[in-house]
Amino acid sequence: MGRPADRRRGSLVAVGAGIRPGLHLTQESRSRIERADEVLYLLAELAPTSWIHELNPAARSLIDIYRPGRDQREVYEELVETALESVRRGRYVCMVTYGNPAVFDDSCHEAVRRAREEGYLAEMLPAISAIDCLFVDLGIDPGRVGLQLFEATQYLTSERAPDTNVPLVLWQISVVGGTQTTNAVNRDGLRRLATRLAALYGEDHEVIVYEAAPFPVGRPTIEHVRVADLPEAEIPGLSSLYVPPLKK
Amino acid sequence: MAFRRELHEFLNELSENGELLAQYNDDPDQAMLDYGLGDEDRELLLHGSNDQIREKLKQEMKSHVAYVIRMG
Repeated sequence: MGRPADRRRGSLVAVGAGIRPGLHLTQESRSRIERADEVLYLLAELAPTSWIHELNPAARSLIDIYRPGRDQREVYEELVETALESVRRGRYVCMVTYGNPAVFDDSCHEAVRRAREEGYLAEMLPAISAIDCLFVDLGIDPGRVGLQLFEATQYLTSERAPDTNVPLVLWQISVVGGTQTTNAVNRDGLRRLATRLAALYGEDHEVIVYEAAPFPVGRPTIEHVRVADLPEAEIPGLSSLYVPPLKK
Repeated sequence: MAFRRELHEFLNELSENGELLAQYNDDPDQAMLDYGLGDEDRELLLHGSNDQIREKLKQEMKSHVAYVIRMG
């Protein structure tokens, strides 16, 4: 979908900025940002944003929607409706989120689904996700023995047991068990997560707290910790947890 | 150094300026010096953790936003 020929009809495209702001953007996504009537963006909390305004001066941040203490579902609904209100006014809207808009992003999926349901053109473009950075930074090829991937809170609240002989990645461990927006690590949730992992892997199993480098330069966070020590470990805000298999 | 610039300005510039990024990759400290970053910021970017960098950015930008969580 290029810029729609019929400008009276609104449309939506969801693109991802990748993890390193400004550097991971694809040419395809860049073009959509440049050509959109409205650019609504939501990057990680303190990421550089001037590159978006350089591409499209009409760009507008949605970060204020993430005030601490709000219910996450309420936040997602506001994100979706903010984008759709502009689409309904006939605007060509580009939603920009960090990472890949199709990966662990309810608001982009829902905005595209709802726009299509209402008869508007809507699509999503692929982008670099944190999992792509993890593969590179930890030297992991999921083609070798497979990979299990869960959002941490979903994993904690589900009854599903992972295969302990296949690598496991848990996303968003800093807020595991929580349902509200926050800027603090949920230590109680981490304790519950550690208890569950200890039952499956043992307290001494070594896991990796991982965070992709969130700035244009700099290094990823890679901290090896025992499962038993996880509740007190340093957990950067956008961390994932890599759990190696029991059998190498 | 006749002028002093802040860390968030440098990171913003890096996100859109390929020439500065190349300079940084060749010689990080010189690139930061030329840009006008102070000693503390240069040290932070070279040796600090991502959370330490975030703390500095929060101070500069007076930010109180929450972690951007992707699904609930």
